[in-house]
Amino acid sequence: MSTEPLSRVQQDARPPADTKSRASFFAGLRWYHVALGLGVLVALVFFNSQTDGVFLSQRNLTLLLKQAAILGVVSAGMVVLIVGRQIDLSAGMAVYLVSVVVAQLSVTFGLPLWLAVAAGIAVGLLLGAFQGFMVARFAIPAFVVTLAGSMIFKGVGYTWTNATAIGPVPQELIWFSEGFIPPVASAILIAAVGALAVWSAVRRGVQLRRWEHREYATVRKVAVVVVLAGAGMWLALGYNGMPMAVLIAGITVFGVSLLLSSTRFGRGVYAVGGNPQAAHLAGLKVPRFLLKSFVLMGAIYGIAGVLMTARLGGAAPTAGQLLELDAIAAAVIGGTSFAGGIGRIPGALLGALLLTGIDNVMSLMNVSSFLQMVIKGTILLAAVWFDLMVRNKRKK
Amino acid sequence: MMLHMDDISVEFPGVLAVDRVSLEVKPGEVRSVVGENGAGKSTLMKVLAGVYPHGEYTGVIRLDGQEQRFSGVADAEASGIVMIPQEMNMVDDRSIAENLFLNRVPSKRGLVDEKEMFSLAEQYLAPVGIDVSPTMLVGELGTAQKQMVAIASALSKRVKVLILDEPTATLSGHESELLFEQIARVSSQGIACLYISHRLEEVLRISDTVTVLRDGELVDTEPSSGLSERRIVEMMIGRKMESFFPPREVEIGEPVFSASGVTVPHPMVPELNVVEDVSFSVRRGEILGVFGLVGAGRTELATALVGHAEGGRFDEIRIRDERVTRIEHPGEAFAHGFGYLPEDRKSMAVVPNLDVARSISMSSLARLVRRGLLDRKREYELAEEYQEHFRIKTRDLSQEIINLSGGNQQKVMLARLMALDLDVLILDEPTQGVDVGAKAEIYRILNEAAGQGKAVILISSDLPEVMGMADRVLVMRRGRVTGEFSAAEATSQQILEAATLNAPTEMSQDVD
Repeated sequence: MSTEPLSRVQQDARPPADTKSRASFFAGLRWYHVALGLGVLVALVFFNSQTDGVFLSQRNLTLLLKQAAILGVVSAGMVVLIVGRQIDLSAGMAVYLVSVVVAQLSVTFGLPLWLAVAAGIAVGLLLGAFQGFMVARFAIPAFVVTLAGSMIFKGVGYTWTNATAIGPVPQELIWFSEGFIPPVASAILIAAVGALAVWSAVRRGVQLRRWEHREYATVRKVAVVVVLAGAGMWLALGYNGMPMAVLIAGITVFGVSLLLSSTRFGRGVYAVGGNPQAAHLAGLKVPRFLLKSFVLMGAIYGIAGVLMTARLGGAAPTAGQLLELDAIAAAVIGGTSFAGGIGRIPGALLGALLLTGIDNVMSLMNVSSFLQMVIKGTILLAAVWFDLMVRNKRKK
Repeated sequence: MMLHMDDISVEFPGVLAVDRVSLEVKPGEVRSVVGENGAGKSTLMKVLAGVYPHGEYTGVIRLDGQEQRFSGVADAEASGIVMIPQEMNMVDDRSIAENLFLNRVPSKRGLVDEKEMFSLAEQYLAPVGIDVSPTMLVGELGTAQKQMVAIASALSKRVKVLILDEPTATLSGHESELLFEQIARVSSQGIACLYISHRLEEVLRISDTVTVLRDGELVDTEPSSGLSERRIVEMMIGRKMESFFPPREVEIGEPVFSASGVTVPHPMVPELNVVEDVSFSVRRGEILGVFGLVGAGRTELATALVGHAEGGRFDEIRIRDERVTRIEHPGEAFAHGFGYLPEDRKSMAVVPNLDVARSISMSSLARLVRRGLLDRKREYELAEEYQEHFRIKTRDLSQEIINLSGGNQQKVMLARLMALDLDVLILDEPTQGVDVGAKAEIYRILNEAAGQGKAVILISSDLPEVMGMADRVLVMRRGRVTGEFSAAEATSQQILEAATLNAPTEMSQDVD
């Protein structure tokens, strides 16, 4: 009976993490971080030269961000669900159904645009609430509920539209995805947001320095913000400015991120996902957190569905297909664990960018879309393997 | 069959978990290995059992003079060294026989030979004294019986050195007795037994020799005949012990909590109740001990009060002047001013990956929120208060809780409950799996809580603890209160009698 591997790490004997690792800006940086960074850099340069400089052009990168917007939004919601030990297989079809509602109401029924959009978002919330209710009230596994949801939503959409495309929606709606904020205005906006981010990082660092001892983490955070803001401004000024889709996605993801990291709701999600039994005994109402997570996901269906309609100019029967799987992949690549209780939204955003980037560069290089799937699958596996390897290393 | 471990050292990054420890164990010897949590006893045993294979430690293991270099658990078992870990690796949904043989299931032409398997299983099970069919699922067995199956499995592997890691932690007194009989029987066959336990009284009773470790180093190995519990504790903590149970002068005030008619049905057998119409009350400043063997219904009594026991109910709870007739969720109990600290820290209290500050604040987030957002600074301040007061040993408050020792994790769990500022604390085995130093701290914390006028209900199966800490002891047996004693006047004899009453044979049945 003892042939099962015994727990290799004796918890009592596990040493405290190396305190020195916080002593300098580069401390805590391991060979694999450096290797990963170099690898990414080499890949970027390689792809850039393969595409005659198109890949890293401001125009292409701007479009890439616009492409990644919907996936980014859905991935953020997926992180919340997976952290809480849930899953959503219906996201793609829910987004599609929202898109159908928006397009039908505004195109077929000629309702005012704001009403169609509001109805779309309301339907998204409703779909999320319905699934959350099934999970929270009847304890049906999310896998089953959302698998069924996926079939139902797709079926409803196809029945209503006869599986045809509905469009075109009014130009004003399209602007919400395809429009641009003028370059200078974008640059100012980015600079302002960047400054705000730096200020809040520093403020937090100073306020909590007594307990967190992470001065260099703050410095690093500031460095990242500065680099990102710089890159954003470079992109905005070098092409048409910031795409509306990116702005809307950015606001949404920021909101979800704030909910997850800094509210009672978010804390509850981490606790419920980390150990539901313990969360219950610590006084948290577990089903309520599950319901809320799905309602949040519903709001995301709504926003993503509207963006999708705007991007495609209507509701297309192929819209949203496999979106949920890409979102799960993005979350997992970004370090979210299916064991629950672990995961952060910025990681998922990186994952979403990576997946979209692969699509983008492969298309530029004329690689067949079938081969793209193989490559994306391989990267998903490699990312999780790498993550596990690093984690195990750290434990030892 | 002589076992030598010479100069064994195990280094984890930054910590020497075992520091040049040497042991020598004779055939048929029962050797206890004791020490505080983190003293290195489990690590040392894992080296012996092949969990840490050759290369991960330094030093030499010899069996009968032959050097051994185990590549893994299977290798160690092949040489006759078998460890029964605290959390037994058994597949609950498979039969006893399958668990007994796991990777050695008898087969015929590629198919499992069930007849052979079950008859072999019976052969091995008979000597360890469990009278159940090997076709039964392991999940239906109690911990004690699982251990017997594990021992039978070890014997079937022709064990020469048997390592038992805290086997009695989850056993009732009577079950422990059965285990001790088995240990005696096994050692009389010339098998060496290495026994890890926190329960010194058992250690002294069953072992021939005792090895004490402290901070990874060997303190001494002595024959148990010349040792006392007090002496062992002194060796473990490296200083003279004053009084383990700090004296307490508290004004016991008015009754603050009472419960009546608590009843909890058996989860599987509907007509049977695990708690049957229990009523009790506690006063401010009082520590009420609730003693009973495992399976007596103490945990179910407590969980029924906070709405966590399946089907549990009560007529009414009176807390302060409030009358409560229904509690559906532990959170509601908090709102009324009483709360429960679960028994099984790992599975029911600790949320891994949360840092210490978040673990402490988990139940009291409501008062840390400002305009919808958590105030991290206030959270740290709250946590820091408890870190200092409870002497929680952690690198800092943003350390993940799973990196703390068991005792410190428990203090964090206590802090989580205390941060709610409740009037009544129901603590289920708060010192289980906790080292001596942390135990003393926890006792101090409980006394202080009582001193502030809180009522403490201390559920424990550690008799000295109950007698040392409680003002009054409630004894439970088979779901009923079978005795109530003033701790100052009762003898351990009386309490134990109330807990076991007339028939010891009866006990083995009601446990599972």
